[in-house]
Amino acid sequence: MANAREHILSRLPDAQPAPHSWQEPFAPISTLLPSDRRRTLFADKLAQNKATFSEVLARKSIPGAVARHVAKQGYAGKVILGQSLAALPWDVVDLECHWVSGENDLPLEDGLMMVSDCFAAAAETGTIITRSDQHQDSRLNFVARHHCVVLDERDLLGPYEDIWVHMQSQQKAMPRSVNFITGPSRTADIEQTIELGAHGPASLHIILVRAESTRPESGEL
Amino acid sequence: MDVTSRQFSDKAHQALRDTVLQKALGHIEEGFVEARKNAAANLPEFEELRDRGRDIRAHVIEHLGAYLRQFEDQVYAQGGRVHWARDAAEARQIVAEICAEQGARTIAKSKSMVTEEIELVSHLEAQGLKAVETDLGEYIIQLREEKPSHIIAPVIHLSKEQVSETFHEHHQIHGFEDKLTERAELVAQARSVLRETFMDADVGITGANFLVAETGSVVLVTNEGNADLVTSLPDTHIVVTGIEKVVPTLNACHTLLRLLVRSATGQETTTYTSFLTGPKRPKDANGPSNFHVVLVDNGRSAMINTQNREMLHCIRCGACLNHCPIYANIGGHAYGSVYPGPMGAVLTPQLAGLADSVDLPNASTFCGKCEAVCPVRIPLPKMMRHWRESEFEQHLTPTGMRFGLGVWSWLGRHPALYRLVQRCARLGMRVLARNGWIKALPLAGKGWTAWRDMRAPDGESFQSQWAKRGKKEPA
Ligand code: SF4
Repeated sequence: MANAREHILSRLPDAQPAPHSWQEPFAPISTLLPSDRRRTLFADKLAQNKATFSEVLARKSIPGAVARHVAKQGYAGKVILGQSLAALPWDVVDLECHWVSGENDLPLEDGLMMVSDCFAAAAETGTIITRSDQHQDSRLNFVARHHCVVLDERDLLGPYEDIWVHMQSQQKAMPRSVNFITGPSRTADIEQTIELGAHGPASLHIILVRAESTRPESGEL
Repeated sequence: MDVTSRQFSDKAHQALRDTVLQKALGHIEEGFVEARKNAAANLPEFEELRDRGRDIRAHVIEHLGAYLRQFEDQVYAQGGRVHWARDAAEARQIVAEICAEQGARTIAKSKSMVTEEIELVSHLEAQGLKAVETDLGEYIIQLREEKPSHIIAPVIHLSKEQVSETFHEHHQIHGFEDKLTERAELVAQARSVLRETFMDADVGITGANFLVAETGSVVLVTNEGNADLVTSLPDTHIVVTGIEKVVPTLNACHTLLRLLVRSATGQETTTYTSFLTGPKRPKDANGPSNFHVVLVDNGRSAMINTQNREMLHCIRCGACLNHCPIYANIGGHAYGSVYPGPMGAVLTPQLAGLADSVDLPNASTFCGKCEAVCPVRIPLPKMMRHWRESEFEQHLTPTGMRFGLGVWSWLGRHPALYRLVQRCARLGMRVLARNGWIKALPLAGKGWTAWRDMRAPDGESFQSQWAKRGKKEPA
C-alpha cells in the first residue's frame, strides 16, 4: 500500500514548520523549587497518589529499607531484585532474594514483590521514571504485585520537561521505553470508584537515597 | 464507520426509561465533573495551558504532512516500521497481515478509539484470531458483546451487579465458580484471567494518545498498566492510530498531557505514561522485536479544508461528554456511534455521513458547556450549528420541522404579526403553567414534555424590554 502513503500525504498541508515558542519547556511554577522543598512536594504527591515513601542516607542502607517495607506489607514470598541492585549488601537482611540476571530470568507470575532502580523522578506529580536498557527489564515495573523503587535524590527533578534534559546529559539516543509511573495501578471502570491493583502493582513504595549535600548532620533516617 | 444513529430518538427515549442506566449516569457528576473542576483549580497555569494546547494542535494540523514525515523518519531510524491506511479496510488488512507474518494466534489489546472506529477486533476474530481487550472496561464490553458508551469510561453505563453477572457467566471456564459482590473482587478476578492473556499473546495492539515527531515515540496513558503489559510481553507491538495524533516535541506533548488527564479524569496525571520508541535494542534486557505503527486516515484528511477542521485538534479527553446535559441524561449508546456526546455529534456526521447521523448535531441545547471545558478550546457548538445548516441545505430536515422553520422565518419578516403571535403564545403558556413550569405542550406533541418540563415565560419579552430601555445597550 505504498500509494496509500502518497495519497494521504498529498492531501495534507506540508509546509515545513518554523521553530515555535512552545518548543521551550513550560513548567508549572509550583514545580520550580529548591531541593528541600522539591523533596517535600515529591513526598506530598506520592501520598496523594497512594504510593508510600521512605528515606535512607546511603545506598548500603537500601536492603534494610526493603526488609522494613516487606515486613510492613506482611509479604512472605521471595523478593525479586533488578540487576542494578545486585551489588548491595543483601546478606545483612533476612530476605529470600532472587536477582534477575538476564532476559529470560524475570519471573512473570503474579503476586511477587519486586525491587528496581529508576533513573529519575518528577516532583511535579510524584512520578518516578524508568527507562529500558541492558540492565532494566521494563516488565518488572508492571508484572510485580508489589513494586519497590529506589531513587537517588540527585535524580529528583521538578517538572516533566527536566526529565529529558537529564536524560540527554547521560545518553543521546531515545531508549525503547521511558515509563512515567505515578502510584500503584488502578481502575475506576466499575461505577467510577477507584480500585488499586488493576493489572500492574497494587502497591508502590519509593526509597529515596538522600544526596550528600542534603543529608542531615547526624542520625539515621 | 457503521453507525446506528438513525435510531437516536428511539434509543434516547429508551435510555430515559432505563433506571439502571440512569443510576449509573449519576456517577458522572462526582467522578468526572467535580474532579475536573478541582484539578483545573489546582493548577494556576491551567487556562494558559489551554491556549498553548490549542495553539500546538492548530500548528500541527497546519503542518501535518511535515510532522508525519518527521515522525515516520524517526520510527524507521529506531528500527520500527510505519504503514499508511487510507480507510478502515486498509488498516484492518495491514494489521491482519502483520499478525499472519508473525504466525500470531493470540492478541492482547489495549484501549483505542481508532480500533473501535475501524472495528478491528471483530475483523481479527473473523480471521480466526483470538483478540482480547485488556482494559477492564473494554474487556467487560467485549464479554457482553456491546459497544463502549464513553470514550474514556467504556462501561460507565453498567452497574457493579451487571459486571458481576457477566463475569459469573464467562469466568467459570477459568475456574471461578462464585458470583462476586465486591468491586475489588471483580477487579482481582479480571486481573487473574487477563494475566493469562498477556502471557499467551504473540502480538500486542495499542492505540496512541500522541505521536512525537522529534523522537518517533508513541505515547500511551493508562491507569491500569494494561497497555504496558501489552507492549512489553508480546514479541510484536502494533500501534493503530489516527494521522492527527502527532505532536512536534516532547515538551509540547507534556503540555497536552497536563491538559488531557486533568480534563479526562481530574487526575494530575495517569498512573502510567509511556514513551515507546521502536523495537528492542540489541542489548536491551527486554522488549518486542517488532514495532509497527499504522497511521489511519479514514476521513481525517478530508476534514482539513472543511468547517470541521478544528475537530482534528481533539485529544479525546471526554470532558465534553461529561459536561453535556444530553449525554448525562441518555448515556453514549443512544448516539449509535463510537464517538458520542458533543465531539461525536461533530465527528460522526463527518466520518459516517450526515444523512445517517443527522439527529446528533441536533442533540444539543447549545448551552456551550462543551466548548467551555474543552482543553484545546474546540468550538463544538459552532460546528454543530454548521451541521444543522448543512442538514437544511441538503434537505435532510424532516418536513414538519422545515415547515415550522419556514413559518418562523416568514413571521420574522413580519414584525407586527410576530409580536402578536408571540403575545398570544405567552398568554397561552401562562395559562398552561403550574408554579412556573409547563408539563404538557399541546402543539409540541408528547415528545418534548415527556421527559422534561418547559419553563413558563417569566417577566416581559426581550423586545418589550429592549423598547423600554430606549434601544440602548445596558450600561
Ligand atoms: S472535543 Fe475537546 S472536550 Fe471533547 S473530547 Fe475532544 S478535546 Fe476533549
